[in-house]
Parts: sequence; structure tokens; C-alpha cells
Amino acid sequence: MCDDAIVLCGRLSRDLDVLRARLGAPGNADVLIRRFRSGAFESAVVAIDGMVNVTTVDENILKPCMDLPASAGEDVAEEERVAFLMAHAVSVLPVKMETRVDALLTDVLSGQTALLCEGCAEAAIMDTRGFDKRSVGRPEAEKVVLGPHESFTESIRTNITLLRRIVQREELTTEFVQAGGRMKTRCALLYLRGTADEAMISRIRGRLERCDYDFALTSGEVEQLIEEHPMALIPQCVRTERPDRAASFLAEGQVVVLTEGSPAALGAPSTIYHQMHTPDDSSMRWQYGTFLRLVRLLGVMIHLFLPGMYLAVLRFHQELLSPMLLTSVYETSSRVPTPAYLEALLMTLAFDLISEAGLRAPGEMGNALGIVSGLILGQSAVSADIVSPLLLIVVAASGLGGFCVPNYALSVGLKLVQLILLTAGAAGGLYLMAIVTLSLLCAACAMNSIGSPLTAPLTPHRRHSPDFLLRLPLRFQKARAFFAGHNEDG
Amino acid sequence: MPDTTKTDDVTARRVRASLRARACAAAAATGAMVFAAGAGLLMPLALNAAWLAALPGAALSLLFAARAPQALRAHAQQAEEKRPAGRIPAALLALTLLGGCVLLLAALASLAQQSLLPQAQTSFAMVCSLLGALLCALSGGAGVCRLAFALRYVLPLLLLALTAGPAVTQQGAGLFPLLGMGPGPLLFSALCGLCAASPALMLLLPPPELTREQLAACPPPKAGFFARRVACGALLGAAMLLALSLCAPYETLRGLSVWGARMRLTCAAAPGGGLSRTALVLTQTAALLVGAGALLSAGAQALSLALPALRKRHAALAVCFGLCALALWGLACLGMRPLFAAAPFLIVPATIAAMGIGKH
Repeated sequence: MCDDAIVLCGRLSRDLDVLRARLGAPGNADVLIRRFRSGAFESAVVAIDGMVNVTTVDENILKPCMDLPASAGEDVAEEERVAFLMAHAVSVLPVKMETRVDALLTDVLSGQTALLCEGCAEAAIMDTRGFDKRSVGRPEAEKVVLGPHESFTESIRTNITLLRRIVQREELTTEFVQAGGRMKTRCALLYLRGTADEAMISRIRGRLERCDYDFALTSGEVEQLIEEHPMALIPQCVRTERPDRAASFLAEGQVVVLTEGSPAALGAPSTIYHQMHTPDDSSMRWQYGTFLRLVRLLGVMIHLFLPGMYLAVLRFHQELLSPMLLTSVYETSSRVPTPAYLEALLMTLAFDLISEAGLRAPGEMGNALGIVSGLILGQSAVSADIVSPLLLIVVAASGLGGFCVPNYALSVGLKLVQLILLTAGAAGGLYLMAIVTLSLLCAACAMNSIGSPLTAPLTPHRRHSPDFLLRLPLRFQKARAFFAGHNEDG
Repeated sequence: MPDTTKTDDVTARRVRASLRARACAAAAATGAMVFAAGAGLLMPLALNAAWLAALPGAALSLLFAARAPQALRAHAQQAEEKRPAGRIPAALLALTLLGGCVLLLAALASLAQQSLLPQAQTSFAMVCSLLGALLCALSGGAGVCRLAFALRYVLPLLLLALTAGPAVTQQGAGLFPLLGMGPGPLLFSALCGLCAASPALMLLLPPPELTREQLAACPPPKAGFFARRVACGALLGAAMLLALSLCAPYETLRGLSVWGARMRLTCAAAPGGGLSRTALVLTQTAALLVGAGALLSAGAQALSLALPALRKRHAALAVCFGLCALALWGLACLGMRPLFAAAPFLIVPATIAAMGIGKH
């Protein structure tokens, strides 16, 4: 007596009835269940139409099994029948043997084919995936001048292959984990055995397995489920759509998390400095890499502080401006009917609106939209004395600084910080801006990414190679990141 | 075996990094306290010799910091946290640290109101300062300690660079005590200035992000590890008082009755002086706020040791915030005189706490 709903019982008819009931067949038109004679006993394959390569199923499973002589397998014990077919007929690389109905269904729904035999309480699960998928293209959000131009796709197997092509090491390990509640999402943890810290790997694995969110489709959702500070404004994992960048994460001792259906990889743990790096930094000479990082840092500072400082100086600290500039500013501001804070807020939001619309508008319209909006709306607003020209320059410069942030998630977080600092500058001048800045820095210093401090190795101090802020020559970069398990220098 | 050794090395390095950050926070708080107490308490008494009167307080902070290894060892070995004998020193420690926090917040508000927000009321500046310290302390102390560690060179270098220029052009006539008020007021002000050593007591508490097992696994560093850093902070505070003494003439200091006005450097009149003055005030603001945040979080930690009922998340911090808010409200109503009258007596609970914490 077996519990049919949980494990296979070996009676083919009953097992197939259970599977039909679970999948909703025959009402569910995608379900393929084919029963056939294979030698001396009956067998069946279960698959989902459109997910499998039908040719592989026909040529490598059905035909060889059906071509067996009628006496084949007569002497084979019932529980060995599937193994017999694997050994003598089927020419597809078997993945595993499975007895549990839930696991069998999960595998079938992912594009694999199950082979069952009469009298055998286990099924063979074979990789016959053949669904259509996007080919490897160029990265959309992480463009570089030098360096590779491949990007991840939505197929987890393709993404693993892209990584294995770069990291050809026997220590590279792939673990599959099912994340989510009812609609489980297939995730892959990749790490270098011996380099990544074992405790960190088990922490990530545990968080993925324990998350009970019903449906986590994208890597972004998976990231939110495993991070420690979901209410924070800045992300705690680094996301990339570039295999070369993901490979560098592996070399540093991080774990790369791939999600089925998502063309981005998560690197965890990470630091805030990782989110400001681009692959171009390493591809170029160290002087250019360092210079570009400093330019990026300057851009971030301008993005965060310039609008708030403009308001603070205008309202509270006029003595910082020269008399000539002050006169010019007040002349233009006096013609504007709205309060300075409202004016700055509206212009900042208008800039964000234009950049968001440019992102969503299809094709070439998106490129033209930004230019047209900026020129026409901006010029018209100044001519109509709705905004002052100096504020327009401030907002534009601040927006340009925001585009220097290579990580899109971080750039959106910094936009919110910019608005907070803008409000602080209007309410309390440079004093309140200083207080808010220090509070945010304290919060950032206290944050962890999968147990590692987000602002390390700067604070708290950890041994590191000179690559987290400035990009010093490669010959000086001898230590792995501090979160690697086997770091002789850290 | 090698794996265990490696794990121990990693744990030891991490414990040391946490203690280093804690020591930097204590140094920042001590330096801020030396400066704030010097400008508020000592200058009316010793005028240009305030920097000299601040040195005994700086020296006492070294003695407090030197007790840190013993206290940390006791925390790690303590089998039962709830021994009644440890609660009274912890309560006195909390009182001392919160008193220091109130002093720093009041100094910060006064400086801000005098320099950056002249059109705002002092109460507005006090509310902003208090909320800023609360936000810094919300992370449980780890955030503000790490921030202090990150700024350990930036703040001192900025302060020295911004004050050295105006200071070196001045004559040193006001520096010597006999040309000020004389030895009597100088000694009395030095006695009052001993309260500036109290922030160093936060080193008697273990960093909150470390577990007891981690502390027990690694012996604490020697006393010099803590004393060295606190000394740097305290001497920087004294150096700032020295710069103030150089820049503010003898007669000007006499006439400055507002605390915040005494903390401002007034001699930078060159083109761009407004920018450098503002930058200096912002740097002073950062130092005072980091110090206040560190003292608030350490005070909450000490209070939770003294009163186990407050060990729930943020309960002790909420109580400390309430006490500081009450104290600042009182100062806003009554002025700074009660604070200046009570501040020198901080040395009493500080000394008792220093002797009591860490005893087996």
C-alpha cells in the first residue's frame, strides 16, 4: 500500500492517473502522456508540449524503446525495468531517478521528460529541454567601450555555460535550488569550491530555500528575498548582465546566483564599492581606470548634493556667494512665482519623468524624446519665467551626475537620497544636510550583505587588494576580497 | 586543524577591527567633548589658557581608556549578565555617557544656531541635533563606530588644514596663563575640565556587533591600543582650543557670552573666508554629531546592562532619547547655565563607573 499522491507506486495506470489529475489532463492540452510497449513490459513518457525537444524524445527515447524485441526485459526484476531501458535503449543523458510525484512534476514542468515502467516505483528524468530561447546578445544596461559584449539570457543553462566558458576550473560548482512557495523558481548557486566561504554559501542557500514568497520570477525579486535590509534605499547585492563581470565575482570568492527566466546574475555578498565598478575599469590601464572611478565619484557627489546645496545657499547661506552672483541669482529668482523648493522639486521630478519616459518609449522615439523634452520644455520654462536658468543648470548637472552610476538599482536609490537631501537643504540649510548625510552614512556603515559589512574593507577594516576605490596596477592586486574563504592575506 | 586556526585568525582580525572602530568613536567623542567643554566651561574661566586647562581632562581620558582591556575580559568571562553588583556601575556609566551626549548636542545646537542658522531658534537646532544623534545611534552603535573609523584621518586633517591657516598668522600673546586670568582660575577650570574625559568610558563596553563567544575567543588588545587613539582625539580637541585661543584676542573672548560664538573661528577674513568658515563649521558639526551619536548608543547599551527589562530592541535607546530630549528642552527653556553648573560633576559617576565596571 503506498500513498499515491506522494510517491510512485509502480502500477503504471494508477501512477499515470495521478499525474493526469495533478496536471489537469486531458483538459490541459499541453500535457503529453504516451503509453507504449517496450520489450516485455509497458512503459510511458510524460512531458509538456513546447518545453521538450520532440525530436529527441522521438528518436532517443520512444523509438529505441519501441524497437526492443518482445522478449527483451523478460528476466528483469520489476523494480529494475527503468534501469534496464536506460542501459539498453534510451540514448539521452539521464539526469536522475525520482520516486516523488512532486519532484517529478517539477522536473517535467521545467522541460524534462519522465519515463515510467509497469511495476517500477521510480521514474527516469531525462533532460530533453528544447524550448525556444533568446540568443546571446549584447548587454543593454552595462555597455562598455573595451571588453566583451556578451550578456546573459533568460535560460539558466545558457547562463551557466557562458560562465563555464570563462571560468574553466574544476572547483566551479553549480547547485540548483528551488526558491519560492507554490510557483517555485529554479535558481543556481555558482561558486568556486575552496575560494568562497562555506558559511556564506550555506547562508545564501538557506535563505533561498526558506523564502516562502509565492512567486519570485526575476533576480530582482530573489535579491529582495535574500537580502538583510529590505527597507534600505541601496541594494545589498550587485546585479550584472555580463558573464565576464559575474566571472570576476566568482574569482573574488562571491557566490553568483542565477535565476531561471532572468537575464541577470546576482553577486553576493557585495560591497557598495562593487556597485560603482564597471568592467572597463579593469580592461583599461590603471591610470584611466582610476581617473574614471574618480569622475564617477564626482558625478555621484554632484548628483546627491548640488540641488540641496543650491537651495541651502539661496535660503540660508547667501554670504557664500559673491555679490555679483548673488545679484544675478536674485534677479532671475525674483521673476519666478513659485517658491524655490517647489521649483527645484518640480524640475528634479520633471527630469526623472523625462528619463523614465525615454526608457519606456519604443525604439528611436526614446532617444529623441529626451532631447526634445529637454530642449523644448526647458527652454520654454525659462522663457516663461516658470523656472530660473541657474536652477535648470543645477538640475541638469545633477541629472548627468546620476547617469554616471553604473548600477541601475543603486542609481534609483540615490535619486531618492537626492530628494531627501534637497528637502533637508530647503528646511535647514547646510546644517540639516550635514546631519542627514551623516545619518545615512551611519546607516550604510551598519548594513550587512549576507553577513559581510557593506562598507568594508574601508570600514570596518579588512585586508584587501587596492581595487575597491582606486584601481591600482594589477601587479599590486594580490589579495582576494575579504569575504573569500581562503584568503591567505585576509 | 588548519581550518580551525584560519577561522580563529579571521575571528581575531574581525574582533580587532570592531574594537578599533569603537576606539575611534571614543576618540571622536572625547575630542569633541574636550573642545565643547573647553569652549563652554573653561574659556569663561581661563580665557586664552583654556587649551592648557583642557590637558588634565585629556590625560584622565587615557586612564579611563587603559581600563578597557580588563573590562572587556570581564565581559567575555562573565557567566551571568544579571549580577546585581554590575548594575549600579552600569547605571552610573549610562548616566555619565548620556550627560556627555547632552553636552555635545547642546554645543552642536549652539554652534549651528550661531554660525549656520542665525535666523532659526536654538530649539530648532536642538531638535535637529537630537534627531541626528538618534538616527546615528539607531544602528546599534556599529554604524557610528564604523563611520568614526572611516573619518579618523579625514576629520582631523580637515580641521587642522582649515584652522592652521588663520591660526599661524596670529600672534601667540594670549597663550600663556599668566597673561590671562592667573593660576587660580586656571586650576579651577582644569578641575572642571576633567569631565571631558567621560566619553572614553564607552570603551568599557564591548562592541554590540560582537558575540560573547567572539570576545572570549580572542584576548583583548593591550591598553595602549585604546589609549593611543583616545589620546589623539583628546589632543585634537585641545589643538582646536589652541587655535581658538590664537584667533580670538583676549578682549574678544571676554565679551563672547554665547557658547556657539566662542566655538567659531573669527579671523578668516580673506577672500573665500566665508567658504572656509562654513567648511570648518561643517567639520566641527560632523565631529560633534559623531561623538554625540556614539555616546547615545553607548549610553543605551549601558542602560540595557543596568536594566534587563530594557533589553528589547531599541527600548533602551528610546528611554535614552527621551531623557536627552527632556534635558535639551530644559536647556532651551532655562539656558545653558544649568548645563555648565552640572557638567563638572560628571566626573563623579564617571570615576565610580570606571572603578566598578570590570571587577569580577
